[in-house]
Amino acid sequence: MVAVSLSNVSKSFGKTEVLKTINLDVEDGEFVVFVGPSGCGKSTLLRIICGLEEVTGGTVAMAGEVVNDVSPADRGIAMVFQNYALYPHMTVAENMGYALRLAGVDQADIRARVNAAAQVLRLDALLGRKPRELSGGQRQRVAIGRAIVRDPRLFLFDEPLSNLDAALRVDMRAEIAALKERLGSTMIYVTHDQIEAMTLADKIVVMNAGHIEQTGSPLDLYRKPANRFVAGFLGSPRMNFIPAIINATGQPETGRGCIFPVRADAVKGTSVTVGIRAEHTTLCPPAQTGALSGQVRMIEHLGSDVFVHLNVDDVPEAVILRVSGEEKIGIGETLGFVPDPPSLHVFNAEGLRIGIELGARASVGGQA
Amino acid sequence: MLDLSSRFSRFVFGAVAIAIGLFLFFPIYWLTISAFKPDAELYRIVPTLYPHDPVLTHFATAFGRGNLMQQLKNSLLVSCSAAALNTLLAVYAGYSFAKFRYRGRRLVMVFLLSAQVFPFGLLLISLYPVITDLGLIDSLPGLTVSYIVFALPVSTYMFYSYFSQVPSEIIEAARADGAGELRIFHTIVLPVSIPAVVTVFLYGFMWSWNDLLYAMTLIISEGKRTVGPGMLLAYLNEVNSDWGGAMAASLVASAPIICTFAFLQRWFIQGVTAGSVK
Repeated sequence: MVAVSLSNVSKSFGKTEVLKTINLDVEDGEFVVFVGPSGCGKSTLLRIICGLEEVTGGTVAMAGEVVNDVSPADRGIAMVFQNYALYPHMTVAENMGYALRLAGVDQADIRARVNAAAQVLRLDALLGRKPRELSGGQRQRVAIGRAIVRDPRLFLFDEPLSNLDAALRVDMRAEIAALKERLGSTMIYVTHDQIEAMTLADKIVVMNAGHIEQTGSPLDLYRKPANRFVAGFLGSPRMNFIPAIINATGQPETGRGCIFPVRADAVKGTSVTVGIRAEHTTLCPPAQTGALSGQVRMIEHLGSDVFVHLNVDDVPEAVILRVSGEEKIGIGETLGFVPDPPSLHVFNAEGLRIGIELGARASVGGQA
Repeated sequence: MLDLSSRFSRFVFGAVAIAIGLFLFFPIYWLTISAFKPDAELYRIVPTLYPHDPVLTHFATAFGRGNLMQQLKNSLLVSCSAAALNTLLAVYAGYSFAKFRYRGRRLVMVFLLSAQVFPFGLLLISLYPVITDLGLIDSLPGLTVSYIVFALPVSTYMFYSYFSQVPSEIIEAARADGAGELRIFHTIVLPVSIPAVVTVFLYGFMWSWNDLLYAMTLIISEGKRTVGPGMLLAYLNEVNSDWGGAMAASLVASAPIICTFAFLQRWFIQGVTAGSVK
């Protein structure tokens, strides 16, 4: 186990700056997930921690020691790559034992450690096979096994499940979660899948365009996103954003006169965006006081739940509501809904979160 | 069930493939049957499609006259050395171009490949004085070097193309596992690049074996001749045109390359197609 500290880390490829002044502390034994859209720099940051890329500026420290000039092999880390990166001409056992062989570990010890890791990952029967004779899930387990046998101070995972089908991804996610419990090592995991991030992480680092947008526990980020980007990125379906203006009583009010039952920390006339998650809404008659309403344009049946996409006036993107699977709703129908006030989010024009105060009353409003 | 147009397309493609195959195979067929025809049948106005009265006299002539065995030995020595050295040099150069980033890399590649723009014969004009100054004229090492000079750019590019498609992740995984760059190359990259190595080796070998121009220009002594010029000068010269002997000697001379190709073709074909599906 090891703590990792990144101070003012920046990285440029030629004139393209891909990471801008990254500061981050990863605690000993913590499972940290870097999440963000493609091209946000999360994989580059992981590769910098691994030692596969050099920083343009700043320092990378492990256990308090700056490792900028330390080779990947000497950092005591193991990395699991997105496309497995198994050595195609070696058997599973040879793949898993390669690093140990390089380190000069004796054959008996290598065999013992490979067998132990293979047992944990249910690879015992496959040790003599070549990677091409394995399924995608088995290959990924070999890649993880190769990392485990080294008993590293730090595990790095670079989108390890993105090449697997949906069912296998769920299984492997559970295996990685179990691995994390069993080994207790420090782990840094890169993904663009926010479900992986939410389910695996002790701490999530949301990245965008080369910088960190927010760092925190999964629930913190879900409940209190620091800005619109984080709010929109975490959560499935994405958060609904409704434009509003702060009225005389400090409440966000839509252009159609629907007033949200919270007071925002902003002056009258400020343009804001109200964020409402699909699961934090309740259906109601469209004409009810404080209700927003819109016409159903699409319905997604997921069995237990139904996601209803509404066209709401003055809202650029469809508003998505999560309703019970028992509800009978038809395309073209007009639906009304009210948000759950404690779960409302308000963002200013720059997209930053604004503090809100509960207790204000929803006012008579027309349609949003 | 294929519809009519699909079946017609398959027929057309099949017919074209067969026509090309026959066209390419015909000279080999003609060479083979001519080697077994007696002179009377060989020089008939209306040629026969197969030897009506097969004889081995031309083979006896081929082995009896001139220095066919010595020439074969010279050719094998030069071709194997040139192919091996060319592969050895190109494999490192190609890997460097494909997997390392350094200043001037592209420029060096352009220089290297620009040598291929010039005609084969033209390069010989500039190569000849160099080989002479190095004291390598009329020597098998000189001929070997000249073949390497010509085959190296394309060979390097062939390796460059192949290595570019070797996933960088396996190299990075090996780095993270603690392997140095040379060890990565020798234990990880090279074992998965056998098809490319075989392809480039065959390219160098065939190039050297089939050459006539360089061998005729750079080699003067009879004892150092390779098989191409040796046969030409022995059978088809100003005073002599022994087609039967030439055909028999050609057949014998073709044997090593046919055997080499037959032995290595499985990897050769893989090497050609390896990049397309990876």
